[in-house]
Amino acid sequence: MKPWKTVYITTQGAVVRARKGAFEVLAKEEVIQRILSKDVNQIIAVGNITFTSGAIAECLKNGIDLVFTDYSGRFRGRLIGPLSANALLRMRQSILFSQEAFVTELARRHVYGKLNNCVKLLIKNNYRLKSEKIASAVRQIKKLAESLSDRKELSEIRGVEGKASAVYFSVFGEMLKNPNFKFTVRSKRPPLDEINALLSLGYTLMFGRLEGLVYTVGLDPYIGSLHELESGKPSLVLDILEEFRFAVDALVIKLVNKKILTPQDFEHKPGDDPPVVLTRDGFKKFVQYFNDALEEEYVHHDNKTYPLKEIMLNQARLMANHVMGAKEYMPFLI
Amino acid sequence: MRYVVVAYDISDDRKRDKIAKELERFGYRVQKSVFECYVSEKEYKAMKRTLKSLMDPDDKIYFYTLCSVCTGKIERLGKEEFLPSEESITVC
Repeated sequence: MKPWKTVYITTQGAVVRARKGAFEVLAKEEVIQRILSKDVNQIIAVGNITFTSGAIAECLKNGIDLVFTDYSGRFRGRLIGPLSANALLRMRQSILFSQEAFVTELARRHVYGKLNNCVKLLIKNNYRLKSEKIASAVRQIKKLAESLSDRKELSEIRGVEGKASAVYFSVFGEMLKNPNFKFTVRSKRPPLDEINALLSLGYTLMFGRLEGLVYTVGLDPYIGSLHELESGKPSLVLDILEEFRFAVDALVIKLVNKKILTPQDFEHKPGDDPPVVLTRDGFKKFVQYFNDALEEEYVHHDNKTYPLKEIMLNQARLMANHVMGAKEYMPFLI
Repeated sequence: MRYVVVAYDISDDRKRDKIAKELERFGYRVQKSVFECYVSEKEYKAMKRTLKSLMDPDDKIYFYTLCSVCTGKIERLGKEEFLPSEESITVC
């Protein structure tokens, strides 16, 4: 009995209430959407959205993942119901992730996955571009990936990831063939131009989804390997996310190169943080294509294909199995 | 899970209202006597049981199950209110 829908609420000032097993979304006191709670599996509240206590209770009762972002899509937080009774799993996670050898090996695998997927994306795009800059970046990143097995320290593995990222973003702009958009350098807090805004939004949506899955399988999102625990960020989620960032990159490239998104889909607010955001229509478009990207099939285990969103769940499950000692965690490789 | 269109023809007003109320729990009213529902087998059986108990001998309730290929081909003319869109996301 799997609920099938993700609902994005983007109408600013909307009120969400619960009525007879359904969510009603009101804008200016008029019901603009009605969805049965049994059909919903995730709600993303974008910006200024009000939830009545009844609506919140309905989410908690049905185990509906409720995620809050700001108007630009920046993750604010999520509503968490009673944590799963998986204390044993979380205890093992704490113990294992405090062991240097364990986290070093796991971090190595995450980074290998990320680098492999970056390289594959670059090669795929370079097939028609035939850019020497991209080809050189591919060679450099491949070399860095190969060096991973020699790195004994966690700090070295983080170093490899950092270097590879720098090389990757130094040629990212080469893959964009739309004169209206330029990419020179990655900017995150805040994203300073349209491409960076899209990347950040995509990564945030993917992160939000993955964090929910990590909670679902009973793991603690804050105890990871590759990402620093002291940063106060959900490092386990960020670790696994590295293997999936390529999908956001591919999505942004497609939306820009196929002119699905145009400059009219963006609003510029020079003093604000962030200074560039998508318009409501642009946001809706992005979300539709993001959802399609989650449904795209990739070869995963035993040579069968699975939709990306299912692979995300499988990787979270695999991590839980790795912690229990039942299976080995292998990164998702495209 | 199945996507099923439920179309009913009920003469008694009170029974017709009860049927509509029951179907509101499972799906979306797309026309006066037509609902579209996405239900599990358990829900489907429960729905049919309740509806059957509300029928008179002359009444009709038909259940048209659609596969995902067919739901993708659904076309609608006229007012589109709260459509249970076949897509797995809703943006509002």
